[in-house]
Amino acid sequence: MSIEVLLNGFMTFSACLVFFIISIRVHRPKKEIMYVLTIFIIVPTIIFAIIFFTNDYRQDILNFMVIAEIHYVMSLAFIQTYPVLRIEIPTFKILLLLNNAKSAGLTKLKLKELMPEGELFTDRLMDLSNDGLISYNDGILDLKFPGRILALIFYYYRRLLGFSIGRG
Amino acid sequence: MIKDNISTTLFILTNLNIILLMGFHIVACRLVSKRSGFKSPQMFLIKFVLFMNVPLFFGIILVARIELRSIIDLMSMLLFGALVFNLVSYVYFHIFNMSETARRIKILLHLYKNGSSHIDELKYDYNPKDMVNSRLERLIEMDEITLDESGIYHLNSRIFLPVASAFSILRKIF
Repeated sequence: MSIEVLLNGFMTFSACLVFFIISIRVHRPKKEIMYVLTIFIIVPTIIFAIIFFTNDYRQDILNFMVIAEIHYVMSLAFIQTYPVLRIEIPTFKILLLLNNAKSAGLTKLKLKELMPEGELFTDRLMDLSNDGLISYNDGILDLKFPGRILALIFYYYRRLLGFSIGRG
Repeated sequence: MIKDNISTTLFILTNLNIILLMGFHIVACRLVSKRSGFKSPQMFLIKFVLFMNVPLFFGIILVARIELRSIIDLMSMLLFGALVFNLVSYVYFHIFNMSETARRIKILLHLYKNGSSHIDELKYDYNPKDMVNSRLERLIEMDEITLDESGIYHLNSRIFLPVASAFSILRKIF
């Protein structure tokens, strides 16, 4: 296996990442999940398909699969990480608050004071609504079709593991 | 020429190891959940991923020896195996962790099970104060923090702190 093949996979991912960072600085779309999927999965898949059928990659299928696999695994890792980069993760916030408090530490009451409700709950509802996963009308929340599919996947995944719904 | 360059066995071995990781993890979760349960399911998965690197690495070295690969080829094969296996494991860990802790997934699952709900009902069932409690409990279980006799939380281990700091810095880019 040549290092060139690995670098090709890495370069396709890097190109998508650079384009993504520049584009969100110009304009941040409302449906961010869909936008991330388009940039890292849908567009590269179309480009891969064009390259596969127009170039002589049909003879080099394994080479092509390695490049595509590297691109997809890096993209999926980024897609999973991206929400963590956009929102405040309560677990990480607790660790950073305790680190700032040094040896004095913090009480539960103080920690709760430092973690606003909006950050923990309301903002997450808005994210779900913006991403088109739930509908929100006059205080009533309901699942939209993509949200129902996602919930179904996680519901059966938890059942497969033999676990109840996570503690949140 | 390309067929000589890329090892089909390496490609199959790496992807098979990913399937084995997920399969073993599901079986382990089912077995343990019927007994006492995990102290920290996330920590178990992290250790399991690290452990699964060992047979993968030995497998790749074996494949390289059988196929009479050069040292440079072996290094590229190890790099490919490590990169693909660990990145997919990272994605899998995130999916598992989301199912365990993510607030958005919990809200989706609530709506899936109970149908359309009023926001107040959801707030009652999923009190933000409880969210802090469950996270504090989880961090204690993972030995990341400690609670002293006077009810004060302290940072204990520093495994996740660099990750939290790195994400805090990266958040500024995105």
